[in-house]
Amino acid sequence: MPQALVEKPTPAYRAGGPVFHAHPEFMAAKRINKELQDLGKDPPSNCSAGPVGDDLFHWQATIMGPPDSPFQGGVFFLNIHFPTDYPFKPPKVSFTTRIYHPNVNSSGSICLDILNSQWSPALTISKVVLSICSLLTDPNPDDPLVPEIARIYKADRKKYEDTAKEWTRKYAT
Amino acid sequence: MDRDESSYDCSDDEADSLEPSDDCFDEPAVTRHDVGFAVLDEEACLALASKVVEEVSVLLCCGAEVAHSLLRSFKWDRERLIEEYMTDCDACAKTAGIHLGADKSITHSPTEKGIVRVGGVPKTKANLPPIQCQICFEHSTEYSALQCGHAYCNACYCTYAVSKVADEGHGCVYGRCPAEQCHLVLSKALVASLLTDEAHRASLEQFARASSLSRSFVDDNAHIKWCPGADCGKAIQARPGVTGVACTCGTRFCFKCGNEDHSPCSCEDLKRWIAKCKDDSETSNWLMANTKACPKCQTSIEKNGGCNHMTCRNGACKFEFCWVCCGAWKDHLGSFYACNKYDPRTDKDKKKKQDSSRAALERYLHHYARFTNHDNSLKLETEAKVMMEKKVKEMEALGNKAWIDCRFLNEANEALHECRYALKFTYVYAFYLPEKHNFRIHFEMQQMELEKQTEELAEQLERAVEDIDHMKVVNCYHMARKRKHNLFEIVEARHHQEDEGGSSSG
Repeated sequence: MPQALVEKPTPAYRAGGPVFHAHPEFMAAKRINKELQDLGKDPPSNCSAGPVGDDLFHWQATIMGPPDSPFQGGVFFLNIHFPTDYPFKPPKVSFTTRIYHPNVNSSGSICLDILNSQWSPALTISKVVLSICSLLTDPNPDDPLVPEIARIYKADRKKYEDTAKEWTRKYAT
Repeated sequence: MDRDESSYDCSDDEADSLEPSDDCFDEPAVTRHDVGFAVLDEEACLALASKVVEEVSVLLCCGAEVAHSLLRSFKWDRERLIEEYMTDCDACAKTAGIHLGADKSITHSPTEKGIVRVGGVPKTKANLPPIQCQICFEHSTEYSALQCGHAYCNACYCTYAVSKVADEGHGCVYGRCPAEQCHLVLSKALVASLLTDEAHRASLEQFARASSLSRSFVDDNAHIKWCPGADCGKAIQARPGVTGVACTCGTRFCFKCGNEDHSPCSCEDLKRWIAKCKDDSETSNWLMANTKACPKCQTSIEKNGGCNHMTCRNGACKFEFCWVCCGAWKDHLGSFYACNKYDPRTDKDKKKKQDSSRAALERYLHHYARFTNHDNSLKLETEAKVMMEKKVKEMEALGNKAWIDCRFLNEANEALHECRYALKFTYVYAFYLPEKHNFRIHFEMQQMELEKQTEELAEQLERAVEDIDHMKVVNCYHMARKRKHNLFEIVEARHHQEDEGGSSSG
C-alpha cells in the first residue's frame, strides 16, 4: 500500500518544497495504511473493509446482519470517507444498502455518537464498524434519526422485527 | 437608574450580598427598577471566582484546579456541588472530568530539557519505555499522558489539542483524553507542555483564555453575563428577577433575554413585537421614510434633531407642528396633548373605514410609528451628546460659569436618553394591553405625561447656549425622571396584581 502514496503525492510535495512530515494528509494516509494492514492481519469475523480502487481515503465496508437480530442473513454495504485530517476528525460513514432501523435514515446516514461528538483519534474503522454491528442488534430508540421507526420499535416490537426482516430480504440479500 | 448606583464598586461586602449561594437569593425577586445588579470588571470576577474556588477546595480537600473543574461542571452552584460530592464523589469526578486516584500523568517540562515528570516526579527522558501511540500507531519514546496514564506521542497529542481548540473554541476546555471511555479533561499543564512551538502559540493562548478562572466564572454561571457592548469586557451579576441592566460602558440590555433593555414591556411581548415588525415591514417601510410633508404647505421636511416640535422653514409658512401626529403644535400645549393616545374615533372620521383588519393594521402602525420615532430620536440624541460637550465648552467660554456648573447639561442629556429609551418600549407595552381597559387609560395618561416632559426637556436642550436656563433644565429633567419612575411603578403594580389575581384577565 505505501506505493499508493508515491503515486498520489499531495500538492505540497508537487510544489517542490521540502517533505513536511507533519503534513496532515501525509499523517492521515500513514494512519489509514496502518489500519488497513491491521485489518488484514486480524480480520473481524462478520465484517470487512477496504479502499475502493486506488483512493486510500475512500473505503467500502460490508456488515453481515448479526445473527440475533432481524437483519440476520442480510449483507449491508457502507461507504466510508476519511477526512484529510483523519484521525483528528471522524470518518464519514453511511449505509448504501437500505435498512429499516431507528438510527439510520433513508439516505443511509447513521446516528451514532462516536461518529460525531464522541469521536476520538484513538478509535479505528474496525471499532466503528463493530459499533455499527452492535447498533444493529441494539437500536437506540431514545435518540432516533427516524422517529416513526423508533416509535414502532418501542410500541410494537413484533411489527418492527417483521418490517426489518422484510426490508432485509428485499434489499440486503 | 443612576449611573453611580448601577456601577457601584464591588467591594467584598457587596460582592457577598450578590453571591449566588447567599441568602439574598431566597428572598422574593426584586422589583425591576431597583438596583439588583452589579458591574464586574475582570479583576472583580477573578476575585469572586478565586474566593469560591478556595472555599470549595478547603471544604472538599482538593487542589484549586480540581475545585475549578468541579465548579465549572456544576455551573458554579456551590451548594449543589458540595451536596452531590458528599453523596457520590466518583460520579461528580466523572462528570467534571477530574482524576481522584493515583497520578499517572506524564508531562515534559518546556524549561528543563531531558526531564520528564511521571506522576509529578521528575525523571530523565531516557528511562521512558517505548510505547505504541494509539493515534499514529508508531512506536515512540516521546509521549505524554494525563493523570489516567493513557499515553500518546507528543506530536499526535499536540495535533489533537490544537484541533480541539480550533473546532470547539471555548468548549476546548471540555476536550477529553483520546482513550475510549476515559472521562478525563485536558489539563492546563499538559496543554502548556505540548504546545510549545511558536506556530501553536495562538492555540495555547486561546486554551489559556478559555480555561481562565474569570472566563469560566462568567460563561458557566447563570447569574452572570457578559456585557454585549462592543469591546467592553465587563460582566454583569444580577439577582433573579432582574431584567433591565446597564453596564458602565453605557450599554443597556435585558438580563433575561439578552436583547436591549426593554422595560417596561416584557420579554415575551418584545419577542412578539420584533416578529410582528419583521412581518409587517413591507407595510411600514413608507413610515420609516425620513421625510414628512409639512401639513400646511406640503414641503418635504427632514428631521434633524430629537425634538418633535417642528417648524416649517419654507418661506412664509412657518407652520409649527408635531412630527409624530402632524397636528398643529399649539394643540399639544397644556391638556390638549393627546398625541400618544390611539383614538379610533378620529381615524373613523378621517377614513370612514369600518373594516376590522384595517383597524388592526392602523392600531399597529400607530404604535409602530411612535416606537420607531423614539428610536430615531434616540439615535439623533446620541449624536447630540457630542454637541452637548461642545455646548458645555461654549458655556464655559461665556465666562460666567465654571465647568463644574455646566455639568448639569450632561446629566440632563443622560436623563433625556433614559426617558426616550423607556418611551420607545412603552409603545410595545401599550400595543399588547387589552384595548378596553381602565388600566390602559391610566397607562396612556402617564405615558403622555412622560412624553410631554421628555419633549420639553429635548426642546430645552436644543436651545442655543445663551438661552439655556439652568434652573429650568434641572427642574425639567428631574420631572422627566420622576414621570418615568411613576410609569414604571404602575406597570410594576399591575404585574403584582396579575400575579396575585392568577389567570383573571388583566
